[in-house]
Amino acid sequence: MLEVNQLSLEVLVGKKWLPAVKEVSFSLEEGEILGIIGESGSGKTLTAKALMNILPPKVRIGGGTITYKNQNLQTLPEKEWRNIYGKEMSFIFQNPAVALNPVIRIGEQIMDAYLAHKSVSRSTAKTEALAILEQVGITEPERVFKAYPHELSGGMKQRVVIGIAVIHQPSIVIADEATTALDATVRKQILDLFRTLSRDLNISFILISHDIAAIKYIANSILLLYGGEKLEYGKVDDVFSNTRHPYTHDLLQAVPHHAIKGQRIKGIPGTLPNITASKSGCIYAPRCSYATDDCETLPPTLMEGGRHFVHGLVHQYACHHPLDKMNIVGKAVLEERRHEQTTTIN
Amino acid sequence: MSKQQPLIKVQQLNKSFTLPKQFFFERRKLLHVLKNINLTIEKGETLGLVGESGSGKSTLGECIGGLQSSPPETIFYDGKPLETLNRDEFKKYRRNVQFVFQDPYDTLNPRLTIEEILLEPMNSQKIFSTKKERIDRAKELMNDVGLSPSFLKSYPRHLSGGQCQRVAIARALSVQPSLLICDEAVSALDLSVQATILNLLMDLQEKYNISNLFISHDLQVVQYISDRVIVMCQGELVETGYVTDIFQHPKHDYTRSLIDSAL
Amino acid sequence: MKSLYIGSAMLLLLFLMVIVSFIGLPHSPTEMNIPDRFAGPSAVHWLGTDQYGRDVLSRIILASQSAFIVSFGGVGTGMLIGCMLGATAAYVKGTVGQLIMRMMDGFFAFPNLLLAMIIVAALGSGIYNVLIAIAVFSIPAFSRLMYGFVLEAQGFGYIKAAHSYDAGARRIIFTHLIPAALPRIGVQMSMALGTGILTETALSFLGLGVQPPHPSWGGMLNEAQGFLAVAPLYPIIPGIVIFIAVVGFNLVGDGLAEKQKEATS
Repeated sequence: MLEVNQLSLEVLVGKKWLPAVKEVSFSLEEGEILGIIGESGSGKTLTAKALMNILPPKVRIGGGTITYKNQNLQTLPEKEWRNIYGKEMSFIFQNPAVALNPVIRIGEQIMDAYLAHKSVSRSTAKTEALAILEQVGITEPERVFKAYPHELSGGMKQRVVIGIAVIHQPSIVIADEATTALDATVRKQILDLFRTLSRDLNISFILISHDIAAIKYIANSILLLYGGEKLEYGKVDDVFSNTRHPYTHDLLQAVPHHAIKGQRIKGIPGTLPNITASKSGCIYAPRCSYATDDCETLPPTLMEGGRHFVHGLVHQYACHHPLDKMNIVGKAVLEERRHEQTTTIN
Repeated sequence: MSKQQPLIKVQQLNKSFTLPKQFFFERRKLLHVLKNINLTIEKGETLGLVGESGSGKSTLGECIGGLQSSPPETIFYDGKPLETLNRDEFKKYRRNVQFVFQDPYDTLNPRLTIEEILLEPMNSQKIFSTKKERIDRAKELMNDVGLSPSFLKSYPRHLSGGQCQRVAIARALSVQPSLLICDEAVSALDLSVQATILNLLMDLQEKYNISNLFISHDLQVVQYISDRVIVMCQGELVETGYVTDIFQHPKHDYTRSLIDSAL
Repeated sequence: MKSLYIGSAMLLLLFLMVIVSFIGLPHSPTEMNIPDRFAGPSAVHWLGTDQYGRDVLSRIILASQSAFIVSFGGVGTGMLIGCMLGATAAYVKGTVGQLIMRMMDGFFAFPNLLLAMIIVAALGSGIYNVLIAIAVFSIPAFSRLMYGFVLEAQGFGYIKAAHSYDAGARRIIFTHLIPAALPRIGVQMSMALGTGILTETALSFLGLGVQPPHPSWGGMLNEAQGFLAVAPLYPIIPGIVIFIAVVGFNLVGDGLAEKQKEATS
């Protein structure tokens, strides 16, 4: 449905255009929940902004296409564009407090969003707004309808924002760090809400986050970005259970979730890649414990493989030395070597 | 063996802020941020403090660190109430409790070099008599936190978030504190960097035998780093105990809901 | 960014005028030469002469002195007092802090020019009283700026850390607070200087500022309005100079603000 092909984004630093996102491709099917994971500088937010067509002034599209239902979104005339944005594609931002106007009642804001694309009477809009509040799990829609944003909790506000995003029954919702500002208990509820909405209204979601646990919890497919490059992409099972890229593996290891007391988690030594530094070879090589001389000089090509050919989405990864069952056996040795590296960071 | 005096004891600490009046004739409303808090921090232990935003956990940390005022007879340092300390003792107390804050970029003054940042606490607390000793100590601290001493001449803007946080840890250690208060110290860092900082904190704690009050909203991180955990909810301390007890047998409903919400 | 360069170029022109006024003027600004009155621009009098045959260029250049002294002196004094009041209010909080800030709000309610006229009317005309007037109406903006900044800075990690190791009030104020506040004060200064010059000219135009025969831009504008038919060029010249000064300061202020925004994002 949505097809991103070889998308490159460039950022103006000083007088030079530097690549921030390099030839990233992915696609989104109906009802799919795609999680884009990345740390700072991974280009995940820029990718999201490119999809939403709200790139900041010093960023440009360097190449590639974004196609929605066979229409190229970049060359679309403004009139048709307006019909798609906000109606068929909608967005949820990180901070619900900023997304809502503080001096207008909630109901009024939802109705505004509804009437922007539909010419119906205000009373129809009101019923519609109340229905959507109920849909997003608000127990007292009448009360919330009359409330001002500051009277609601963070989780409630995010529900309202989600309600506004789905009021036109869009086919795609793009959420950039939508659960980051929320408390843990609320985060899970919101993720569950995404899942229900995806199932009940057949909405596809693109969730962009640095929160690997949240993405793992909810997504069907995962795209891993690092320093603007796609390192691994595939179904959740493929990426997390049959991890091929060392970065994905290391990242999962860095979550202090299943650590047993007394046993250390392993961080990744070194620092995140910087956009101004010139790169050759694999972008992850400087921090990778499997890196060889090849990795430093030769950029890896995107390889395909894995078990789930039948599911449609092919597991992709960009690595010279992909992990598999074979070298996981021999991993103990490498882990050892790696531990030495960790203890002498920098 | 006689029981050792805890490093910090907090007893029946209440704190409230006055809310701004909405109308002129309205009565002043109080917002109770901390309600009857009792806790102890033992020497050398890591005490995790979990709670959601607005639970008062940062306020509690700042009260313990003396950045915010607290009522008399509520916070005891080495058995003595804070307000009975004289000027010199209080200065020493300040030195003994150091902070590491959340935002790696506003934790260092952007206009000072790393060296100036590390020397300032030593100058203020008059640790070492000569500048050379202080600079040597700064180099040593840089090694301790896993940074090359060549960074000493750089400015914070040349450092990544994780490196800034390492400098902040070095600054806190420069005055040889006995308690480190980490207020969401790793929350703003990327996952891959976060783990290295957590490990660094654990290593340094072992090396210098420092107590650590680790404040975070992230249950997993707290579970990983702490010996004991305190759970706060809306200004109240709802549960306290050893890490394994709290996570395996939570008694309070709120703790249970927190643990259930982990993904 | 562009606005900073254009603004700086405009101000540079004015600074050159001030420097020239101290080195030496092409003609005496007060020497009258009635037969030569309302002469057009020529090789001798580049910008022509006024109703008494005095050289307009020399008078414009000399007037830049009072314009600059009054606006810089006034805004500078206002800045110092305002920043101190604002910082004090933020530090002591409570009733005293509230009292200071509400007083500032009171000042804010008066239009600048009106306040300046009241002060000059009370103290009498003359450039030093104009300076005082400009200082007084500059105070509230700076105090508010500083009040907000100090409150905000209490949340900065490095300020909190400095408190935690007892860096001492002097060190915190002079090493951490003031340098961090300078960029914002710079922007406000620049904007306030534009207003300051405008006020000085306005008061001189009304005859409340610089007293004749000493030249002032406002005064020249006032004199020229009687001779519009005879010498249409005459009022335009001080007008242009005032325009350059005010727009220059505002452009520099905008440019600085923009630069700051870029640095923080």
